[in-house]
Amino acid sequence: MNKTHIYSTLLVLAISLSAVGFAYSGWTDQIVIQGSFKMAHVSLTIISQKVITSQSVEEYSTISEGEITNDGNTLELTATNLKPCWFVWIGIVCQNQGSIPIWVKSPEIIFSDSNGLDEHFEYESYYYGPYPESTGFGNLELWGGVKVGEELLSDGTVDFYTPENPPPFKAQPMEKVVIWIWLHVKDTMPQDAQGEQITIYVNIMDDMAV
Amino acid sequence: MRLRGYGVFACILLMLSTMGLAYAQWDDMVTVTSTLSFGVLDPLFVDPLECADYHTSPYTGKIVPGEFLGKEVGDFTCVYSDPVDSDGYKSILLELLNAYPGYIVICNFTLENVGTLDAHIAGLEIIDPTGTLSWDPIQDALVNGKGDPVIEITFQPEPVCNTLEPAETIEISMFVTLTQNAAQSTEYSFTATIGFEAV
Repeated sequence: MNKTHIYSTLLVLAISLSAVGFAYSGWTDQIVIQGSFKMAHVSLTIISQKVITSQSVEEYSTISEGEITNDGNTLELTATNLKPCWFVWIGIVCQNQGSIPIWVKSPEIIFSDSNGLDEHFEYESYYYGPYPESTGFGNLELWGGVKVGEELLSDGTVDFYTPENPPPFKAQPMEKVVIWIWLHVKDTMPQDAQGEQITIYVNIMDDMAV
Repeated sequence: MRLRGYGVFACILLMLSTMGLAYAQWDDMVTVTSTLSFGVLDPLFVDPLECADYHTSPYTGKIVPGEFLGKEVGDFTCVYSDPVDSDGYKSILLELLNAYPGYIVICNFTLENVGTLDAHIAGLEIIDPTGTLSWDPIQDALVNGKGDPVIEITFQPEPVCNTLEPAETIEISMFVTLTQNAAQSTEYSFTATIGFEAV
């Protein structure tokens, strides 16, 4: 009798609980929040370049025309027969082709030879801008008719009327920046390195300015 | 002995059928009429919906309105969607454009129980429908393959475990922050589902 009573009670309990559970969980609803994000992109790109030196350097050294890499971040050039006092002026016009303002920073100069030849180079950089997107550089004082020995001197100084704008400074989307880099071989260049060919990479550097 | 058992069994059967026959002669009918009115579980988003962008002040470390130095670089839209009659909405659509690491958007929305049953907020599930990111409940963020947080999403107050009586509302703020691990030129998305059950 006791056992029967217990079993009956358990059975009724089980049926009740399942009925309650069905009633409880059968009704649900939901609301939704959907988010989508498009991230900005940062892109300081080289859009024009010049590589020029003096006539005396050209007589003994072959300097290639600069090549801009596909991503627009690096200018690559090759030079032969380097020796003390060799120099070149590298001009770069960059444009902020990203969607947000960026900080223009000093470029990074890398040499293909990792034997410490970079120690025998020195360089100076000069920055100008930012200029509006519509600026044409053909007639601009610091680009169009620039010559070594006149505006760009062999000692690494410049003679522009336009004042320099030292980095870092901001460039808004589509604004342009001009950078002139003087690259010079010091007289510490070892004898066995002289006459070698070297490839120089100029990487422009930027950072988000928000 | 066996015959006796069969005899008892037969008697029982005979008695039962006789009872049935006698019972069936007198019959009547009783009708029970009942009208059931079911309750309704119906939680919805209701007005107002207010969203704004913020940034973390580099001076105080606190979240303050607007972008840094008043910039207007990032942009957003935030609207209710999927209306239900004139009672409310089933979803919120939040879109961020030209976003960048450190960009914060806070959405203040209101939930109302427009149904007739108590609505218990049973769960909150956040996923990336594209599968690019996965939800980490410890970091309260959608994380990349390396486990680094990319999009931090938090709610104040925490909606789960609240119960709304009919006509009751609750105001909740959703904080969405893009971290330094968010990659440029990339699209991200998420879906946050708030689940209710009737109590």
